This record gives sequence, C-alpha cells and structure tokens, in this order.
Amino acid sequence: MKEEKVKIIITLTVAVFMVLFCLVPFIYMVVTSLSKNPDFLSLQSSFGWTFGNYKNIFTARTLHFFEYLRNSIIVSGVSAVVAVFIASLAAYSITRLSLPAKSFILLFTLSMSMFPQISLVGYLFSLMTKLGWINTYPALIFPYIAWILPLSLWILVSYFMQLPKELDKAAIVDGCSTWQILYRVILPVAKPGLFSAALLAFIFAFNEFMFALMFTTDYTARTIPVGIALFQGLHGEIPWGNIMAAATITTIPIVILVLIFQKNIIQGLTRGAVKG
Amino acid sequence: MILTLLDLTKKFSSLRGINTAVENINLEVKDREFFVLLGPSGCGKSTLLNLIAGLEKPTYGEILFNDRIVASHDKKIFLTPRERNVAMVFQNYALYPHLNVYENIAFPLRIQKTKESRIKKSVDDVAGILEISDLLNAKPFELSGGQKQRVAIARAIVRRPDIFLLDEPLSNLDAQLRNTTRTELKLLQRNIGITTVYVTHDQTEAMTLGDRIAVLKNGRVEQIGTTLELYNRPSNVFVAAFVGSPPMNLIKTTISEENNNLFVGLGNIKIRVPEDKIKTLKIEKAGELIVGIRPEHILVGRLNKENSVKIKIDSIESLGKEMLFHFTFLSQKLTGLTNHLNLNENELIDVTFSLDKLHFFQKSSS
Ligand SMILES: Nc1ncnc2c1ncn2[C@@H]1O[C@H](COP(=O)(O)OP(=O)(O)OP(=O)(O)O)[C@@H](O)[C@H]1O
Ligand SMILES: [Mg+2]
Repeated sequence: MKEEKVKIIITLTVAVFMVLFCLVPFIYMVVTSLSKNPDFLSLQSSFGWTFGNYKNIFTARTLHFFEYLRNSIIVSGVSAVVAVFIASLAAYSITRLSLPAKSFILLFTLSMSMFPQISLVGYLFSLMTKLGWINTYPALIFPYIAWILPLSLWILVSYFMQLPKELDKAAIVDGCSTWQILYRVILPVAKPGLFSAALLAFIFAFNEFMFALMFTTDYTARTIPVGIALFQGLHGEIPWGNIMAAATITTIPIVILVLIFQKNIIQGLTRGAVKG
Repeated sequence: MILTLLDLTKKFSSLRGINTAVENINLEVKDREFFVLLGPSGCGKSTLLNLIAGLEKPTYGEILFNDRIVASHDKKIFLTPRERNVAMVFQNYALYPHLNVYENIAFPLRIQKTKESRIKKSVDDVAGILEISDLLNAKPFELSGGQKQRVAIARAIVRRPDIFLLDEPLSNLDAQLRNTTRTELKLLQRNIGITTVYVTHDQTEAMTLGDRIAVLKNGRVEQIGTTLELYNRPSNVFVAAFVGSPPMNLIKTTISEENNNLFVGLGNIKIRVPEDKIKTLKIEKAGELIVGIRPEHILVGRLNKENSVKIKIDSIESLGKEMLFHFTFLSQKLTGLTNHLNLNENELIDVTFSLDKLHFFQKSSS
C-alpha cells in the first residue's frame, strides 16, 4: 500500500517536472507575445497585457505573415504527401517483394540522411540557380522530399514488417494483383503508420530552416521559420513581441494536427516496439 | 476436381545453403475428397499447400487440376492462385483488419467485380451456413477465435473454389472448440463437396477428418492411406510412432534362425516372423528387427503361458475410462492401455502380448 503511494508520487513528480521542462519555453513564448513591453531580458520593466503584437502581425502587410504561413503549409504538405507516397511503395517492395540487397538499400538511405545539410547547400544553391528555381516552391519541395524520405521509409518499413505475411497471401489467393494488394489491403491496414510518417515528415519540413533561408529571397516562397527570423522593426531593432506572436500562431497548425491524429501517431510509433 | 502432384519438389536457397522443403511428392487427391497432410513441424506441409495454391513456384515437377496443368517446371507453366480458383484458410485466419465481417467475406467477390446484388446474396448465404449472420457488421478484432475461424472459412468458400486449402486452421482454438469445429468442418465439406486439402500436425485431427491421409517427413511422403490403413498397417517406424495416441511401442530385437524359420525374441517369448513380412521387408537371416505393438495390445493378466511376462509398473496415468501403465521391459520403456483401473505404481503384474497384432519394421526404414 505504502509502496504504491510512493510509486505514484514519484511518477507524478517526474511527469510534472518533464512537462514543465518542455513547456517553459512555450509558455515564455506565449507570455512574451502578449506583453506590452517585450524587452524580456530586463526584469525591471513593468508587465502589461496586450493583443497588439497579434493585431500587428495580422494587419501589418509589410510583415507578410500570411504569405509565409501559406508557403510553409503548401511546401511542407506537398513534401510530406509525396515523400510518404514514395516511401510506402519503397517499403512495400523492401518488405514484401524479392529484391536483392534489401538491407543495403535501407542502410544506404539512412546514411544519406546523415549528411550534414550544410555540406549540400552550396551545390544545391548553384543547381537551383541554374534551374531558375530560386525563390519558387520546387526549390524547397524537391530537397525536402529527398531529406525526409529516409525517415519516412524507416518508419514505414518497420510498420510493414509487423503486418503478417499471411495478409498478403490471403489477398493473393483472393485474386488481388500486386497493385491491388498494396492499395486494397496493405495501405489501409497501415493507415496509422502512414499518418505518423506523414505527420513527422510534415513537421520536419515545417521546421526546416537552412534550405529555406538559402533558396528563397522574399515572401513569394519563403517559409515561416525564416520569415519570422527575418522580421525587422522600423529602426532595425528586433521586434520580439511580433516574433513571439507569429511563432505562437505558427505552432497552432502543428498542435491541431497532432491532436487530431494523436491516436494514430502513438499507434504508429509504438507499433514496432509492442506486438500489435 | 482431381488434384495430381507429379514429382513435386521445392528447394529454397538461402544464405545457409539449399534447403529442400518438399521432395519428389507424387499423389492424387480424388474428386470431393477430404485429404489430410500430416507431419511434424518443419516437414514441408505448408510449403506443399502453398505450391498447390500457387503461392510458391515448384523447383521440379507438375501440378494438375483435373487434366489442366497449373504448374510445371519443364513446360514453364505457372498459373496464379486467381487463375487456379483455389481458396485458402490460414492458421492465424488472416482476416483483413480494416474491413468488417461482411466486407471480409465479400472481398474475393469484389476483386472479381461481381455485381453488388450477387455479392449480397452470396455473403448472406455463406454467413447463414456458418452461423455468423449476426456478426456481419463486426470488425475482426471484436471476434473470438472461433468466430474469426468461421469468417475465414466463409471468405474461402464464398466464391465456390475448385479446391479448398486449409493450413492448420484449428490450431489456435481451445481443445473443446477444436472438437466441435472439427465435426462441423467435416460436415460442411461433405455438403459443399469441394476437393479439400487440409494440413495439420495433430494426428487425432488427421484421423478424424481425413478420407485419406498422407504422412510427411522431411519433405517426403512416408505413407498414404485411410485412417485404418495407417493405424493397422503402418509401413515404417515413423508412421507407426506418429499415428495413434498413445503411440505404438517399438522394441528392438535380434533375428535368429532355426529350421529355416526366422525368429525374434521378446525376452523369453519367441516370435516367428511371418513369411510375407520376410519378403516385403527383405529381412536378412541375421541382424536387428523392430517389433511394434500398440498399447491396447498389451493385455493385463496371464492369458496364456507362452506370451506372458512378469513386469513391474513404473508409473500410471489415468484417463478416466481407461488407464495407461508404463513399464520397463528388456531395458526399453513400454506403455500399455487397459481398462483394469486398480493398478498401482511399483506393482508386479503379468502382461500378455497379443502376438497376432505385432508389427515388424526394418531398422533402417526410418
Ligand atoms: N520462404 C522460405 N525460405 C526458406 N526456407 C523456407 C521458406 N519457407 C519454408 N522454408 C523451409 O522449408 C521447410 C518446411 O517449412 P514449412 O513451413 O513447409 O513447414 P511446416 O510443415 O508447415 O511446419 P509447421 O508445422 O511448423 O508450420 C522448413 O525447413 C523451412 O525452414
Ligand atoms: Mg506450416
């Protein structure tokens, strides 16, 4: 009885500590965004509530907040969907079809994703310039797809491996072609895995900074992390209030996505560990 | 539909080398027959079934459905499962988890692009036959093992396959359910009259279900026959030990010759080896011979002088109606089955061997 209580107390303490630890920067962000005088380094300055920062980013045309947000959602969405689609085909052939050098392919893709981004930027920049893609969506979408493909592939391979082989056999005996097995059985059954892969891919692309900084020049293609970082005040000072308000708004789509697909994501991510 | 396998061989090559899962199988399954493949784990039963279904390609040999060649190594013919019109039930059911029971059963029909009205009628029919009509809206995870089993069978028979294949379909059910389902399955097969190949490692299941049984070992057929043939005339030690529960006692003996007759000895009991056995087993004048006797043919009591021996009971197992007693004879462990229920451990009793029920096997025939 006593031991049980101690256990509960320890669990609670650790949980509270972890949640606080994760949430502090977030709370700080929200508080600063609501602050009248967002000079957050000085403790002396008096604190006053205001929605001015939010009003500002929504109304000030020069900040281009909505354009950045739109760019981000389009670029990340397209990248995630395409990457997961390609990854699902690849994962299916790796887990189900007879294919030489499967483990080599998997390790090779993984090693590709280990390249530091910075080592690619120079080459990609001259490539995009030659193609005339600088400051367009494709300049971001194509590198993003390549960049998030290994992660999606690994999530889906581990997910597909959990699905019993008899499912495929049953589908073959029931008359399915290889293509039908994939879209009538494997993909619907693997939906939680697909969702979690797509969501992680989306978040990766949404948060990406360096490519977005290098390959875009203005609000026609620039994504929100870069956009916010380059917010500037009238006299060259850093408008912390606006930045924090924009950052707060920006986290909303992600939070909504995670809340909607929470069940799927947890299923998808733990599927490999716990026998489903 | 008559199913014929000719010289069927399947080899898997992997990193560990070449593994012959199925070797030179020749057999014919008659029209509407309930045919059972019986054998221990790893003997190639599933591989053989997959070959018949078209999920694996044979390395050598041919498979015929009636006169149609569905797979042949030499003639380079290989029909897909769809073209063969086979249906299969798997050990773990392999229901589609994202579809409800109705859609699971309808799935093969949908792939065939059957009309919606026909689908509805067919699904309702088989659901009625298998008594799962009230489960049609449930998802597979809501079903018990026995119900899943029924759905899997319904999905298999809904499109009237030419051949019905089952891979250990009952092994995930508990003992009681297994017995009832077994009876129902046999009845169902009789009623729909589809040629059936059924895989199991459980000899009771094989003996109760099969019109004929093929006993497999290491990818080869050891013997094909009806339950009674396998039980009464096992052709080698492996079949003798595998078929029947409790298994047959196998006793190693030495051959001796006297007046042109061959004899083996069970202790003091001298047994003449029948002429026909000498011929069929090609028994030499000297050497070893294995004598088999089923537990029920070891009788308690001194029924006649020549065949009786005194033994000490090592242990007993009560089966309710009957009793098993284990004893050591000629330093080999033997088991007897009796309906004398008043035996005790360490008791000294007389037992009589029914000499007309003995089996003789060559030692090397395993
Ligand atoms: N895809 C495969 N690749 C390589 N070897 C295989 C493959 N499938 C089966 N085998 C081998 O073939 C042999 C027979 O396997 P199979 O699955 O047919 O046995 P089984 O009689 O069905 O056994 P169980 O009763 O355990 O299901 C085994 O030695 C197995 O390792
Ligand atoms: Mg098997």
